[in-house]
Amino acid sequence: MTDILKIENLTYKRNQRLLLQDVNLTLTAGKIVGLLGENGAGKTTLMRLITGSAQGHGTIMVSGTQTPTERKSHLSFSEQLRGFNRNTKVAQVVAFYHTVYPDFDPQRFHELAGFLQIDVNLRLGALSKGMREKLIIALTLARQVDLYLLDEPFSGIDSMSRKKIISSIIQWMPEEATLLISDHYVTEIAPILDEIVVVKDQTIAVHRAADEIRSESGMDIEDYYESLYEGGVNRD
Amino acid sequence: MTSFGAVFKAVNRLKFRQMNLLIVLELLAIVVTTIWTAIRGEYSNMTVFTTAMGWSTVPAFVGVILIAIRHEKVYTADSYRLIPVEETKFYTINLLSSLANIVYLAVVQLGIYIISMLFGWQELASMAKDMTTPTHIESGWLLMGLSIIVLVLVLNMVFWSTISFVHLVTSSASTFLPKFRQGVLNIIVYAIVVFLTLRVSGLIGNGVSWISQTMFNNGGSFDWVGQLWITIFVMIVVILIEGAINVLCLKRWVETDAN
Amino acid sequence: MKFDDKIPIYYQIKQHLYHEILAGTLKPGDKLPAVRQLAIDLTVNVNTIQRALSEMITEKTIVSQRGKGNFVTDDTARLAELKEQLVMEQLALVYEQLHALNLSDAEILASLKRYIERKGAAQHD
Repeated sequence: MTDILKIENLTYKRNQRLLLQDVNLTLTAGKIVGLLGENGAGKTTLMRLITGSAQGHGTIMVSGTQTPTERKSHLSFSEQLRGFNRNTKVAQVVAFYHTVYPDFDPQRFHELAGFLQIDVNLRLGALSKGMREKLIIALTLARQVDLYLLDEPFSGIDSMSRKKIISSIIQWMPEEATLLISDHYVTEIAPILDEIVVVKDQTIAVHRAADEIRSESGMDIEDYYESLYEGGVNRD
Repeated sequence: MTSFGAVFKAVNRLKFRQMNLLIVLELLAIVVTTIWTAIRGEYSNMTVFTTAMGWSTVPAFVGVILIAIRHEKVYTADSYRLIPVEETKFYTINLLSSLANIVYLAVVQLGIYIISMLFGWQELASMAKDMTTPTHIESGWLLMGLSIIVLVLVLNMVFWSTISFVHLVTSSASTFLPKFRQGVLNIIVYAIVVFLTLRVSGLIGNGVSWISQTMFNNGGSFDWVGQLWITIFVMIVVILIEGAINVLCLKRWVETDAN
Repeated sequence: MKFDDKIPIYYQIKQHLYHEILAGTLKPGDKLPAVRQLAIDLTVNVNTIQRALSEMITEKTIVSQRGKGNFVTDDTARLAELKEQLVMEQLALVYEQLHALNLSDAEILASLKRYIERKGAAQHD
């Protein structure tokens, strides 16, 4: 099986503080992988290191390419649209994506937008949190790449939107692509996960197949995840 | 990889919108001022032209600043930095797009001048008749004018390039510094970088005047155009040196704003 | 579909499809929905569906026809076997639980008989 993502000996320091160390992770093609961990454990940081938005030490390969520029052309990250003003229309953001990403498929976006009921005539500032997140998902999945990175797509979102987003992921993810999705509520995404990766103590503590956890430990993913934090560390 | 044209369009979009907004505001200001003059009963055929002249420095100044702000924002926004394009290319495109916008603004200003001149055409024509222009200077003036235009454009680029330099070097430095002192240290780093930049540009300025003085002594007659081009050349060197360091910072240390 | 997250999802998908087959929602020889459609319907991952289906193909409950899709077997012997298997699994659960209440085999049989009689009487009213 081909490796979509291969991280070797990755260490990340910022402001003289060690945030991640000795991270090694290999993800193969065609998987949905849950990236779990407490808030502040480094889930977002790990994704930003993969995209090249943050700069660490070590090797990161996406679809066999190593330079950040090449990596960027093989991955699609759920960026928060910070580069746009509040009064930018959704249609303009879509046009921007269409311009800068050769792999952006307007037809796919159109289908996704229809499914998620996104109104492209609205301005960014007028979108509810759920609608904004749906837009980000639609933009991210409308690109045809090998690796999709969705950073906490469900935070602060109602359950109806959550279900819609999960369905859109199943429906539109290319078969050979791999999707890394971070979340700190495990239960809602557990049924769609092939594997889970847990970031804990500045490194990757666990990387296992979800059904293997269920059959070997007899625990659900949530319980298994919580068992990693003996003594019950507070999670929000 | 994303093409040159696509990246240009992307980084240009908001700058261009702001320039157009600025032009609309300028036209509005000219109209309002002209109407106000008319209400006071002081309207003459020259009013539109003088008003346009009077207002034109404001958009030029504000335009350069607005471009500078947009110019820096693209370096730390994921929306731009996730575009698959090599850093040197990205940096160059951003600088060229800023240049294109200021040229656009200048051309529109010229258009506004010409149109406003039409209002007071008779007066201006008679004034021009009274002025006796020695024909032999004309070719020299043309060259001089061109040189000054190039100088102003390059000056703008040095301005943006230096702002990027301060921004990217401090941004790089701040990733290394401990967080609890970052506020204080940021100010110190800013001060050092600004000081060094001023110092270096001072040295360059001295160099330029030394070179031109040498030329002045050698040539006998003062060669304005020659001196302008030396200055332009030196500024281009500054742009290249700062650019090399800026690109290095982008490649190695500068991170985008976190979500 | 709601899943019990303690049990492997592929296993629950198999159980779900078995029930559809035995309940007649999916008839012998019927074509199954495409893998991705099943994934969307059940809100699970495509690979999990794939795994469930491939196990069902190996045990011959489903027949895969190249380029055409997956079909419920029309081999009545296999379907009877499947039914027997599911019935036995259910009975095993009941048996184990009643046994845990210290009922002897005869008592279990008697109470099961009683239950069915009452249930039947209730339905006839």
